[in-house]
Amino acid sequence: MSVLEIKNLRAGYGDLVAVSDLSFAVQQGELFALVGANGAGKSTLLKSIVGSMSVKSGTIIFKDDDITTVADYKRIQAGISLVPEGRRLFTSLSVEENLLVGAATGRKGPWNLKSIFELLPIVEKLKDRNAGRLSGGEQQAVAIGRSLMSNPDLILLDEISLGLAPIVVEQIYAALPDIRNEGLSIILVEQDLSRTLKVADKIACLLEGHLVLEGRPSDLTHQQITDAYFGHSIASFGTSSNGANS
Amino acid sequence: MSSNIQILRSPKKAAYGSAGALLLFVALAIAPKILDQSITNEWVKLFYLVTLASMWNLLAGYAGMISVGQQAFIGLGAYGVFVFNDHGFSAYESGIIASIVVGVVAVPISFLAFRLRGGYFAIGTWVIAETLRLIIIRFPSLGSGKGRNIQNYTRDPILRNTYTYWMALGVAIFALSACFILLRSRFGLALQSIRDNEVAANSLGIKVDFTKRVVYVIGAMGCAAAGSVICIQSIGVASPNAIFGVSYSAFMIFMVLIGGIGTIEGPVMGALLYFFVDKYFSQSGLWYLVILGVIAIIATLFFPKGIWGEINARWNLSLFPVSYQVKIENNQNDSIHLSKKEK
Amino acid sequence: MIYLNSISQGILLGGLFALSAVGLSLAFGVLRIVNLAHGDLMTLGGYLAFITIEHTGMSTWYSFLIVVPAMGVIGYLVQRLLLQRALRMGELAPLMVTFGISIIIPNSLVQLFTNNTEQLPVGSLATSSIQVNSQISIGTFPLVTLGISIVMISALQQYLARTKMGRYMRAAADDSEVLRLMGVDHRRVYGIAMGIAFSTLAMAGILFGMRQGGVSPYDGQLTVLFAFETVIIGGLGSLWGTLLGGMVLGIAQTIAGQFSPELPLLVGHLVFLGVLAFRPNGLLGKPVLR
Repeated sequence: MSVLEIKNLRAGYGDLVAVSDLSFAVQQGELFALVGANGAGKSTLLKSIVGSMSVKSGTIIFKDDDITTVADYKRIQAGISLVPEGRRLFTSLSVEENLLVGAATGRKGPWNLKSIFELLPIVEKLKDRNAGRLSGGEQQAVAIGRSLMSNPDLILLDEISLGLAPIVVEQIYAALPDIRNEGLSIILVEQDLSRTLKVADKIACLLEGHLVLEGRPSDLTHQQITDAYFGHSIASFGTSSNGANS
Repeated sequence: MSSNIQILRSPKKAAYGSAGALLLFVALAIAPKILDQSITNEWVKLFYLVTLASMWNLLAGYAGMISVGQQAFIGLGAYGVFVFNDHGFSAYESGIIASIVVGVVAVPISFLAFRLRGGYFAIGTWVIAETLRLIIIRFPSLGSGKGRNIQNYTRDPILRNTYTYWMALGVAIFALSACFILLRSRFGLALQSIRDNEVAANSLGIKVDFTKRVVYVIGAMGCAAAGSVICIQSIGVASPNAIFGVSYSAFMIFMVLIGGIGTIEGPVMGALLYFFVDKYFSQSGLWYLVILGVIAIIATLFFPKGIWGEINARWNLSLFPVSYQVKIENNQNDSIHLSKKEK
Repeated sequence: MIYLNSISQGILLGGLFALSAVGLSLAFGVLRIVNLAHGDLMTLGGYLAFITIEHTGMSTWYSFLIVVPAMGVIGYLVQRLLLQRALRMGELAPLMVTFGISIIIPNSLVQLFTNNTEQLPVGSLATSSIQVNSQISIGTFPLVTLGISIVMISALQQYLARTKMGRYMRAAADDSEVLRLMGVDHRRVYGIAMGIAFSTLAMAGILFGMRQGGVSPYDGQLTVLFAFETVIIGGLGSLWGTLLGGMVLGIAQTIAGQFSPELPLLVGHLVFLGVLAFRPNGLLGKPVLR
């Protein structure tokens, strides 16, 4: 069963079309990795899914409901959650308060303060600390915990390793399997190809706003993926809108 | 992709605009010799309204400083006329000297006011105006709290009215030209970048505080000149509470919002409109002010560009362009794909 | 000794200033809106109390029960219907909207009620006082006012620190967009914050009217300055600072009143400008830009 289905999505800022003719589906329990270079349209896609940006055309279906025009905060209440790029914690609140705000939807599920503290012990240690006074890695752990607190069915992770020390990134990636064990679907947006390939069930590559490659990491050759990522051998990119869609 | 990008300023119509303005100024200058004085006397008010609106627009529309305390300088300009008039200058000379002195006084005041930002700056300027009023009325020589008259003024009413008219017109022309020249200079670009993003402007090496201070001082001088015109027209100040009254700020804001903030032409349009509204409706009691308040809110929320902005958006008719226009001829029909850095 | 009396009067007056400033502080802290109509809305609160008294014959104290919630609802609606739209348009628009309101209220009041002062009777508390010694006597009504202020400030402090909605308000002040990503409609949070701001300013407006012997249409032009000065003297972002700021302003005014009845306003303003010059972040405030 698919949790999220995107059909012919077209979105962007003003006259700029950042993603176009995009279709894909994320299955329940799947870790779906979205890769692509800077400017490929990944962030626009995530914003369209959570609704902080309205789409130009196309349909977004979440758990059988068409949510294309549903307000952003209602999508969160319906079970989508985003860990935003740059973490964006509430800096004047304590870590624990950040988690409590994360639970605002009141959705029932496996995640609460106790289970978050078990998953991410560092968060428990920091719980009384002001969220504005954390290191980047600590912030990222809190941001993931905060999103999980809403007990989502689908969680979107936007560039969670960006700007963090490699050791911290290892720890965060180590927690991903535990998060998935709860039956959660994940869309992971990354620029780091090799790390992503290790954890993803399915990988999709965005180039200039188009989906140029989609498949299971085991079915794809390294060459295919790097070509899609960097756009080699795709002669007509940017000028026609169908590209090399899968 | 063959895009043709041109950067334009001052298209031909702007030349027509300048020529037209010059003709208009000349016509206005000789008007008191041709038209009946009862008509031209009324225009004095129009001129000082244009001055006030342009000054408020300079502050808010170009430098992002929202003041509700410009009445401080209107009041000081008016009272300055008494001070220099008592020392032997003619009322008109006194007005000019007072405006310059107020400009000097505005420098230290700006250091206080600039401690505050945004809305707090707005109320801070109001407190400063109140403080100045409370200080002025402590001087018996300035009539205490009761106002006073100008001692030495031109007794011949026809001559007096003509001089007053010329002074008011001169002040308005001076204010408009100052705005125009200022905004067309490099200074104007610095100013607009401050309005759009003060932090970014600062990091680009623009002297934010200095630039704002220059505008603040010019704004103060313009308002002082308008204040001295108001004082000279009625040969005195009837009530310090009125000349230092916050309602002047209300009128300035109304004129600028209605006319169109951030343009040279907008405040002039707003002043014209307010001039007629005031002429025909001010007798209908305070409901008229209530309606001005309602219109100000509606204009803010639904027509933020004001009358001139709407006209300009429709016909692109800037007569006094102070910004550059980028004209892109894109020969490619395909949509432009996002290639700028994603946020 | 005469100063001791002034100081105690000033502290009591400061309580009222602090209560009137709390709403301004909250609206700025959570919504980043500086409400230029703050004083006029206080006056409106006073008039609503007057209308309530006129129509029901109840005492001024009971009118709080009607006016304070009513103003809360008005605040919620003003935020949702007018200010929310303005907030999307930049920094200028909310100021202009509140300025528009500040023109509408007093002029409508003059048209509807004339320029005269309308009575807000204090009742038996008006004349009773506590005699501390031969020089110092403390009026019961000002003491009650101070008590209400302290209770309100503590309650608001606790509300922001401990309740779910208080947390949302602080979160919205940090990043309203992310608050939406937590499934919370920040517009509702803003509306409630403004509702609370209006409720507290209504309370202050009625108490101010009672203290002055009544309300008149243009009172707000003065009270907005007091409220604003209180916030800045105390320091932005600190509710207890607001209480301190109110007391400093109150003491400055009452001591100046000892010298001349014309001086309190001027000296109050000068103390404010002095704080601005020498302690621009206020007495207890953290450095705040914008």
